[in-house]
Amino acid sequence: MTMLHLLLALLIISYCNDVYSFINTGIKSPPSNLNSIFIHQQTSTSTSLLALGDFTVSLEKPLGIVLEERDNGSGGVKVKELVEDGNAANSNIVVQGDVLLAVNNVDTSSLDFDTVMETIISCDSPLSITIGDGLGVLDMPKNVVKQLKSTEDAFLIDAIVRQSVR
Amino acid sequence: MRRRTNILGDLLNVEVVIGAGVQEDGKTGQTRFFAIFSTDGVSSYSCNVSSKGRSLDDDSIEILSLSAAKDEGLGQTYQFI
Repeated sequence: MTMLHLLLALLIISYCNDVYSFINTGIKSPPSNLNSIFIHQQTSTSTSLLALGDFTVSLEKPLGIVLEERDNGSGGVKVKELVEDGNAANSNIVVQGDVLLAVNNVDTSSLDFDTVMETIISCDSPLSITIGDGLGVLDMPKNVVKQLKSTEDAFLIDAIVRQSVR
Repeated sequence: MRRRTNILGDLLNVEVVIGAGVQEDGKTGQTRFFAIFSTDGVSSYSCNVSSKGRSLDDDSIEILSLSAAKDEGLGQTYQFI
């Protein structure tokens, strides 16, 4: 009987820690059982989950993306605009304001503009580019989280917010 | 929203989620949040955005309704979906 109580207590603590970590720090990678919600924030044949708001897409050259340096002081580039009827625009995935995180698994999140361009030019087509929505971890106060029944609900709301502003 | 209109300007950030609820099916949710926009690249303003969406079988998110109150009190609410 005591062991049963102990096991129940451990299970409750584990669950609470899961919710607590989401509330206070945000989870960059959701638990594996929640992946289904976030694997595709966009309809695509080649997106995959990296973190909330981040995904990888395969695009043919020319990409049709106009890039510009981010103004965050730590390097990296973001999508300034998309060329009309270009590959990126036609993918219906990349949008203005997205941050270019990696090109063919090469981390570009802190590279300067010229180095990013050189990286893209040196890669063969199609390119695997990883982009993020640049929103980071969304601020969801505790009183809002309390309105939700589970961590899954919180992730669903997170996904709806991100999709709404795309 | 970034694709749909230029009315609001450029999205700078999502500031805070101020309300959220999920229906019993666990697939449909409604939320309200503040988003920060800029129309000139210099100044910015916040917008109260209301959105309803659902998780589809292919795990994508479909937005069912979306509206933004650009100037609360002045009645400038934009209905996007």
